[in-house]
Amino acid sequence: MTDPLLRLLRDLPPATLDSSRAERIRARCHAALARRPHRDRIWDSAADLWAPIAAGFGGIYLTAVLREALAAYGL
Amino acid sequence: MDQESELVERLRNGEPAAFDAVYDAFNGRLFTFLRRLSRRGDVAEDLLEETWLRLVKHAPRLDANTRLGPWLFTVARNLHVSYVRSRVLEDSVTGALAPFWPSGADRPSPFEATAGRELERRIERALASLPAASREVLLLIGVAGLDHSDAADVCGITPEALRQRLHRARTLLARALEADTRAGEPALGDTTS
Repeated sequence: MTDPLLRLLRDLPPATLDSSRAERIRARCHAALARRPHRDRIWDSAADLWAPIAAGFGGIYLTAVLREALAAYGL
Repeated sequence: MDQESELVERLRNGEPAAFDAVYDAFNGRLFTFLRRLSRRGDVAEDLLEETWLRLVKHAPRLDANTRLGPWLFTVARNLHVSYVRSRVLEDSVTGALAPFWPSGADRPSPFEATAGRELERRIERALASLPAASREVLLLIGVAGLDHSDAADVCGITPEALRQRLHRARTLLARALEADTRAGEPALGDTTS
């Protein structure tokens, strides 16, 4: 970085986060990470179930339509 | 697979050690960015925490090629923009129309007070007096060390627009530093009396 103004900025001391707050943030994130797999499994299962459920309803609907159509023609 | 892609993959799998590696690499830079952008320690801490929680929340959906630095700075920057908007709304509702950000030139912020050297204090004051958009681009490039392309992505603008914004910000910073220097010089009457 050759720009003298940007170099001045780069040389500023970093802001210091209170160490207890830093650890609290880390702990909160670890807790969120630990909770995540369970929730993700639930969502994955729901996603896996969605297609068969939709296919089932579709099948029922088509069967009903077919029966109505046959009944209409007296078959 | 490079080191960062591997880290992203481990984050997607929810590995705490991977999170720690990212946290240790970026926490200081993110806090420094948010601290100087918001000019308030309590706000910067809250935005920092939310940034990390967003990473945890979105980790499973991260693209394998995600570059974590720009991703984190984008989230931090967007959270700050949302915070500023909410404060402006709050101020307009309550009728408190005082300037949202106090001028660092008149009254040193706690952060300025802790800055040890005079030059650092002057730079902090000059930086704090800039408009948020100028301060943001200077912090991303000068302090956080992002390259122009990444900084443009973080700000959601083209590299050319970033170059122009940086040029303007740099000019404003130089002017603010000059003004600060002039303000710090003794008045003519003081020297002749």
